[in-house]
Amino acid sequence: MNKSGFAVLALVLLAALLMGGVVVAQDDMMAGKGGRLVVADANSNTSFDPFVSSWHSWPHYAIYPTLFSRALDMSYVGYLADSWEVSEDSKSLTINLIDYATFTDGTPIDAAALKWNLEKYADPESTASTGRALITLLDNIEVHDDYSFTMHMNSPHAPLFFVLAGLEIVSPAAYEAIGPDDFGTNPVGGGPFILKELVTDNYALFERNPDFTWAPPELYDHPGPVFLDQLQILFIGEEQTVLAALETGEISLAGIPTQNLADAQANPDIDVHVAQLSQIRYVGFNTSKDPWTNPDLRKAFAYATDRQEFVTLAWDDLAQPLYQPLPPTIWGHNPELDEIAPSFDPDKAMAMLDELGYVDVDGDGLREDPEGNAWTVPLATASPDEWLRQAEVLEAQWRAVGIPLQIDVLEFAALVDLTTTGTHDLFLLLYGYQDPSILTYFFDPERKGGSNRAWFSTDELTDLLVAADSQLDPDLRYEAVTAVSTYIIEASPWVYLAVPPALTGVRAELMNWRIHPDTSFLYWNAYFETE
Amino acid sequence: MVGGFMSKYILRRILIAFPLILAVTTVVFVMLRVALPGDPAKLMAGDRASPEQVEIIRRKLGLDRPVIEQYFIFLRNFAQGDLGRSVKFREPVLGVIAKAFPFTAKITLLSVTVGTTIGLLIGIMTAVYQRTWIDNVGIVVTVFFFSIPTFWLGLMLILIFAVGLRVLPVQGASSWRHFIMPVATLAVGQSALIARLTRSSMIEVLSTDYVRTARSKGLAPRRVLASHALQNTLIPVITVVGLSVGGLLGGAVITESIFGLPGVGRLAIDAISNRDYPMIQGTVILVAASFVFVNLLVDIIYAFVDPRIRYE
Amino acid sequence: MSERAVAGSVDAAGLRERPTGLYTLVVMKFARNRVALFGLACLLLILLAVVFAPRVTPYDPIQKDTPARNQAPSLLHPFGTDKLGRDILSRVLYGGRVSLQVGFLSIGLAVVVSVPLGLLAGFFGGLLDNAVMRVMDLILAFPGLILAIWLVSLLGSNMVNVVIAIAFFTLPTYARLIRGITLSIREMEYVVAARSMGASSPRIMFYHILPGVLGPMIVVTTLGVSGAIVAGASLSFLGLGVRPPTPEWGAMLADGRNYLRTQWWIAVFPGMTITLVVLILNIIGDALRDALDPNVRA
Repeated sequence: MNKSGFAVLALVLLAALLMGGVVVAQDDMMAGKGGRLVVADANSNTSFDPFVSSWHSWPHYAIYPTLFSRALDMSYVGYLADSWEVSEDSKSLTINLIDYATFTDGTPIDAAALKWNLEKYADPESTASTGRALITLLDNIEVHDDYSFTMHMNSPHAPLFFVLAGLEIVSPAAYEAIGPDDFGTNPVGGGPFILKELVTDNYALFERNPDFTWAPPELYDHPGPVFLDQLQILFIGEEQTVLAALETGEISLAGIPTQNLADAQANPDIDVHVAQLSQIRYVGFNTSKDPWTNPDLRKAFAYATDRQEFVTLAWDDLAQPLYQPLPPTIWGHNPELDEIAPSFDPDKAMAMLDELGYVDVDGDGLREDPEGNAWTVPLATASPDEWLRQAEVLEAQWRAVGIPLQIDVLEFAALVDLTTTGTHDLFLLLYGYQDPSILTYFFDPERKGGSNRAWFSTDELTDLLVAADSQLDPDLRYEAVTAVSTYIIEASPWVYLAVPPALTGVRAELMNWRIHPDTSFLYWNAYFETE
Repeated sequence: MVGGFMSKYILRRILIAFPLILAVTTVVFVMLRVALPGDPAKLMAGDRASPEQVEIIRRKLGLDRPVIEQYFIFLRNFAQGDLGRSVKFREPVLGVIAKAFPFTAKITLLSVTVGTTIGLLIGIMTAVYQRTWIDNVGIVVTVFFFSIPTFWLGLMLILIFAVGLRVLPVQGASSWRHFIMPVATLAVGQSALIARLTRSSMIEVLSTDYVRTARSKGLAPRRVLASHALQNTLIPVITVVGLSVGGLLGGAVITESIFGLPGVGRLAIDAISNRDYPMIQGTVILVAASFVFVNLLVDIIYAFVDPRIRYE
Repeated sequence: MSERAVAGSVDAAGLRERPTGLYTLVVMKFARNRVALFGLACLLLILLAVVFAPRVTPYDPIQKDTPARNQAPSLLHPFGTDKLGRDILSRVLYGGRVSLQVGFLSIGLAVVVSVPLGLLAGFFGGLLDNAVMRVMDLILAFPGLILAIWLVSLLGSNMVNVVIAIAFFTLPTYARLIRGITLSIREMEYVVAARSMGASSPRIMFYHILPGVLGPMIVVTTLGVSGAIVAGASLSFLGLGVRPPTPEWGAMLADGRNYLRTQWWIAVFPGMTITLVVLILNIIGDALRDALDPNVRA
């Protein structure tokens, strides 16, 4: 699992060059490159303290390095880690760190610093949303020397590299000096940028970290420092404002609303990149509440759903229809499962509903319940218009087979709250993630009243999930994940709807950028031409 | 006129302001914790948190204590000028609001001044030239601009002046040029309302016998306008201006989000969607204080404009 | 203030005390305003089209029509079609049922409550004034969003709640306006004179102060209808109001906000309809005010 020898050699060479004082080469490379990359982000900031924040988005990864990163083929590659080894029993991971990385306060990024960080993530009192797996997983950390240590785990954990690739590493010295209260606004990391200014809920401005030379070579042809002088993230939610600012050049990088895709593509100043998000939209049933306890009834809804038309009406055909719990953009998706999953078959849906006793008694085109009483199917959804449109499409499709859907619009926090009560019926939601282990959170018996919003779990499914999450061998894990997906498709606690598009617009002046298959934007080698 | 009893009145109003603000805050405080669906701990913990982790966060935020105890803690800190830390931003609420408020105050002042001036001018014009083409155009234009939704107007301005003509920036607040479109957006609706109000009141006053008499006696029209008509039309206008100042000091949510502005309106809305209790309380106190203060100011201005008005 | 003003106003008050004369005069004066009559006819026409929407339009306002989606205005669909292929003209007509009710009822309710509150507070002043106005301050300061979310969780979706919620938050504006004018009028010589002549308080409020309040109130209420319709939409986004796919003007307007550059017709036609209704209301309001004003000769 070593990095390619060439990369190591290149790094060593570069380090030698730098130390040898051949800085001229470096300056030459950076000459004429720079500028400020301005990015729009619809979410506003949270604390930059990764141990309290639930927001682990790219502003964080501009400041903090991580142990691992994900190559373009989605395999895990070293970032702070130079080489590593997993033990036979898959319960220990030994990591050798690169020995030239430093935090921006000058302290070295060494084994002691990593131990401090990992233990802090594993502390149940930490409230970070990433790294939570470490709380139950991590047994202890054994430091061998300045730059090598071993993580000893209680059990094998398949998403371990995924978890570690998401953990921001902070400077322990700075954290202890500044204190947890103020670290969130005065973060000290060792990533490509340094936070210069934060205007809460408006923008964050970062400056190049001049000492940063440890960008993973699998992702970047130049190890750093980054070419850009500054990075500014604007927290603007209005998509039309963002688009206008992209057109005028005030913003260099932003998402393009689906309806404006054609215009953006026709604009010579903007390069448009079209991909799919690693996110899905689905309707969940509260399987703990009658009549949604009946899998046949849930399946009838799946047969009544025309995904092809759904993506046409809700996303102008830019989304992908989805028939299983994992989208193609998350590792573990198995295209063969689409064959066994319920797809649009209105006759079958109607026959199933008839058989279950949901028949149109009064002839108004809408079915009554088995007792012959009026039937309404409440679907809780959030209020942004994109969501409402999806709910309206479902309402129309399901009405066509006689299902009387009632759209209950809720403010988002109220919607999330409702699904934890267990009194809800159907709900329209999304999830976005980069690892199949996400399914454990949705079908964990312990998380009913939490993330298990369908209130669905069986012993069999739990066993399958545990098997998938503890299998480190990729091929075997893929099989185990397929088994999980198959079971979930069969049980139908959700109706899978679509994978939304990721439309990215980039100013033509920005050079040398790239978009990762996981839709993250690789900008550390990007630059504007300067005189 | 602003004699002893007036200053006593002002003093009484200032004294009542504190319990008033406290009352609003208390209602919001209890409502958030008892009645409102949504839980800051759950939202902060994220989608994948286990119930125990949510519980830990709840404890850290002090939300596991009885509401009454939370309230006394809040009161004690409030009395010391501490509004707590934002759940979402992990920054002191007071600091976050203090950073955003100067901007909000500036944009309020600018847009109200511009809106009122234009509104008064249009109102006087349309009243003086009542039932002429000027008046007819006036009613169509003012109603149109009053009815046009803020987000349309904002977006139209952006498309014309920023994207089309490239003369103004789309978003941000770093120079005076950034203020032009937001101020225009806010001023348009206000000027329309004030124009209609001014026109209506002016006509009423202009048609009363005493103004007619003054006119027939040969007083210059402009003097009649200034000395009699305008003064009496001002009361409703001042009321409406006061209400919009009070409202705008609490933030102009739509305008702020369209132009990406660092005002308190977006803070307030985000605080509610995140159930960021301390932040919500902070913005509620701000809004309450703005209204109480501005409405007091309005009552004082009434007495200046119309010296017969007295408060006991 | 001159003596003549007092005389003129007392004269005016005298006019109002003859009910039959007043009534015929008002109708007569209004009927002579041709623009206003035209406006009234337009408003009736809109109301009829809204009430008899199923007879006016052949399209179902909620039935999707995939092939017909996103069509620009044409002879077949004069207002175009939306993202689901629904005819926007039909949705505007059906949507008027909800929106006009919300607009008129909420403003009406706000007026019914605010007029007595504002008059009493302004007229009697002192403790009453302070009490009423401080309650208004409380309402102004209260975050509407929180109240709306709370109402949804408590009462669920319901049009009556929408009307009450909008009226509740409109109330302080009207009350403050009325009270401000009352403060000024009650000190005018003719009111003082009427009082010294032994006129009862209700009588003074009704005959001397209310007419002065009328003009500004007509302005703010006729304009307020558009605000109420748009506010109705923001409440329906919180779940307080009609459920989609039931059409409603404000929601249609909001639905089209991100499509102004590409499918402008989604929002422009509902928006124009709201503006048209408000314009007509303003014209009628102006005419009504003139008709009610004894100083304006017919």
